[in-house]
Amino acid sequence: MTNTRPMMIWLIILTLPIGACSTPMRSSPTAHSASSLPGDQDESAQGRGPAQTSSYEPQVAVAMSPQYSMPVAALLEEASRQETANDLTAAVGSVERALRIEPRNAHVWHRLAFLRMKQGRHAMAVELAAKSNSLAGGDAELVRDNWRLMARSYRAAGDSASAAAAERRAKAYR
Amino acid sequence: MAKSRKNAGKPHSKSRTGKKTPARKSRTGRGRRRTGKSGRRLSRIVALLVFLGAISGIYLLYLDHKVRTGFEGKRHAVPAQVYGRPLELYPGAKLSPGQLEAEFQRLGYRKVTYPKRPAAWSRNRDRIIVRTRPFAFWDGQESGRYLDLGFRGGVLSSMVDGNGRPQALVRLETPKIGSIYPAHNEDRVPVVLDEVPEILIDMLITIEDRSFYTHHGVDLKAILRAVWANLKAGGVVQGGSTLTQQLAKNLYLTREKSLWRKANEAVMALIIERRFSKDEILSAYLNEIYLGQDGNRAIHGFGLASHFYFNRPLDELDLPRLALLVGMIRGPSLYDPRIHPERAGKRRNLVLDVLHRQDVITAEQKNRAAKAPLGVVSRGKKGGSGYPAFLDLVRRQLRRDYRPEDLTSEGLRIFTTLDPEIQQQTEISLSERLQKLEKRHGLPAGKLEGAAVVARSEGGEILAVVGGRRAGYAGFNRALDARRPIGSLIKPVVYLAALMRPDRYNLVTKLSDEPIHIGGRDGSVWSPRNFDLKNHGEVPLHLALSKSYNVATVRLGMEIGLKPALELLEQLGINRPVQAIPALFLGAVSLSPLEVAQIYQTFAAGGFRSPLRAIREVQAADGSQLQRYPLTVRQAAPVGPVYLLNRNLQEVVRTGTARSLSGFLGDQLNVAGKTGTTNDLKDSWFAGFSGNEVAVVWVGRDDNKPAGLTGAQGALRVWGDIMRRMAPVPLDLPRPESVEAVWIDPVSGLRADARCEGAQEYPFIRGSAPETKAPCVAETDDPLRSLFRRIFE
Repeated sequence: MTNTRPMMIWLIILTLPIGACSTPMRSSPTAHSASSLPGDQDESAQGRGPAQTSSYEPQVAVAMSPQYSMPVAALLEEASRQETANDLTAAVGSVERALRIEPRNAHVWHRLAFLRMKQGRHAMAVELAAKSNSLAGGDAELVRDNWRLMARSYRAAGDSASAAAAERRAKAYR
Repeated sequence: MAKSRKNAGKPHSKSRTGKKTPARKSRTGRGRRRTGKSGRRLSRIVALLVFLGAISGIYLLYLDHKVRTGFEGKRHAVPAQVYGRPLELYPGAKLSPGQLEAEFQRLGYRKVTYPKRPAAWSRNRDRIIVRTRPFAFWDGQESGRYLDLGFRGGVLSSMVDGNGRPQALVRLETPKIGSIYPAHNEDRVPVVLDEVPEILIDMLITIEDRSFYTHHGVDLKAILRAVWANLKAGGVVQGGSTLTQQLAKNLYLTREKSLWRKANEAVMALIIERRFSKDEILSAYLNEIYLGQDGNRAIHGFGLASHFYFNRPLDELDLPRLALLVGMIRGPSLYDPRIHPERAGKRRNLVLDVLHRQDVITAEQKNRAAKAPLGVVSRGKKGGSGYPAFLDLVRRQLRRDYRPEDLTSEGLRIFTTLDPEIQQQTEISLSERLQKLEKRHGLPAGKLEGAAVVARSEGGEILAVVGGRRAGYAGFNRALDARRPIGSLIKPVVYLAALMRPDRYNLVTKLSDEPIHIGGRDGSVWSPRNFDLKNHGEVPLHLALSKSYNVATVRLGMEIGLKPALELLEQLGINRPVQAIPALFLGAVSLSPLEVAQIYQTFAAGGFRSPLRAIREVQAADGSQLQRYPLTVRQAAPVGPVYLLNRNLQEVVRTGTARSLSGFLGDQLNVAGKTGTTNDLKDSWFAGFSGNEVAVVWVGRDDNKPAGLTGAQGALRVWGDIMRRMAPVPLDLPRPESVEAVWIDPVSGLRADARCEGAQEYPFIRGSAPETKAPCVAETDDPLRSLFRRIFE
């Protein structure tokens, strides 16, 4: 037993590059789907199909950095402008429009949570940040930001116990 | 009858007061006897005149009051306009040229060879060029644009402006889907005088009332002229009414023809002229004049008529179309261009002739216009809206926040979530499939009914509501009001309640499917049975749900208890009281398709409930925003267990009771869903979701007799048709952090690894997977070999 352990470590080190190479390849359709055409998306989904249906539990896609399709990026820019102009209601509207185009983009949900927090709608902000977390996959940075946002919202709403708990969760992602 | 009885009562009461009057008269009469006979007569005449004067004075005051209140009131009584969702154009959008064409048609855009003006488009195979109309959204103005659009494989692949610059996103204007008008059925699309084509005003004055700007409400010369013309012709061929008189008639009077009414009309016209300016009168005329009938909806005003006959705003009408409308004033039903196109055409050309003779238009204009087709669009569905079921829902949601009179008179603009394209496809899917089902199963024709609701999974916006198989007709709205037992559609709630206790239940937990007998308080015994009447022994939890085993479900439900199931149901958005009986576990609760959609929306959104919404914004007539109905989420169930449930619901479609769906959708979409069937095959249900949409379908009979279809035979097929027509995106469920995948040996239900024959990975809440290893896992568990296997598998 004691002999095999160093060997295993070496093996893991050796095989890491393989893993590193293969992971993005497997996940590339997912990562690209946001910016590429749905037509391509369909094809890639078909390509992935058989692999998915053969097992009950499909592979998990690797976390992606904030990535938006062109229209969503445009809407988020618009939201930023509206936010700067202190028209938070309009900014919320723009982000909601973005969510209709990319309903499962965790970053867009986070953005909405942030605007709601800024509006002082703390309960709403907490729920939206939780929603963002549920879609964040392995994006630790985003998950941490969501917990921080929840902590701030709880604190602003006077719920310091929940705020402390959320802060602890955020720290786990440092 | 009622009238005559009322009249019969009047003389009686008069005679009673009449008894007193002579007595009074006799007293005053004694004093007057001294004055002569002639004086007496004179004074009587004077008294009579004073009396008549007072009466007519009072009557005039009454008319004046009526004119003012009526004029003011009507001027503001603008029904709420209801709009569907705006179509968002962006490269990558799932949109075919045909779908865009359909949207253009809804918006009243014209197909031309090259669009030079707004609201026009042209198409060359996979390329569409359009000039859009500007539109005032609640969050700002969307300007009119020139767009060059390219399509590829059902996708909008490129979008550039006039200078070839790529455009990221353009929002088309919202299609109008209906209006909310009061009970007396007067719909209206108001127009402002400044925005009305000048030629229309010229036409009106030339054709109907040439001395409009000089008379005081009545034009005696015109009346005499008309009388003379009518005498000559031996019938009514010409009217002498001024625009003001016509307005008075439209505003205050019935359509009855009598001299008394004519006199009233004339007096009111005089009052109107005293009270209001010519522009105000003209403006009211444009908005009030009666121009046709659509079922029980009266078409008043040029704004609405323009939409009703031509499906475009008034300021986009060309000369022949305007002439057609002006010609119709004399007799909207006589010259109805849809019923009597030839007569209407002749009338239009007569109008054009007169306009030319009066130098309003040139000979060339006249000739060109006279050759033009009538240009009338085919009549939409009755009642002005093709979406009675959806509008019904909009009205109900608005009623919580607005008074009925505000909705029917304040000119609100209501922006809804309806997607007319999806609505149409859903309607077609339901009506066509029901017909096929009746044929295929030898059911009596026309007896099957159905309802469907389609919504966005994330955010809960309602995209389509179909209340019955004849969707265009208002009537019993089954999507909202048909509350029927939901049968097995309840099971996911029971299983989710179990999976929320990961210490006790996971997807491979063995459940007993052995017969169970439950005693009721009244001494009765309930013995639920499986649909196939078989006993399946011990089954893993996921299989019990995917095969919809009743007995195993009841046993599971009894283990977790009614209270947690009921509480979860409430969390999922069901607010009505639900009877706490064991039969609840098999769906002994009656819900509407809309309520079921709320439950499944929460599943589809990973446990986050968004109240299903039909409205996005409400805008006041002046464009200011009154209210937003924002996107909200509330976590109704923890993410991990919902994920397990949704995987299980995918299994239902892959290998369970809904596997026949693959015939509709193929295997690639991984949709999740559940069938539901109630006793004696009375109700056939299917509820499920794809990547973006959640949909619920009910099929059954209004008389509650057996429909003769299981959930899979009936509702599932409608559902499959709906989804196929929408070309949905696949359902990819992101695995939450709290969930891990573990290999399980199907035979023992114990922990396995990839080497085990037939082993599968199942999702578990972290730490809840079985620890015990299955016999197939070799005792000489070599970690090195297993590592290699994992890497190269």
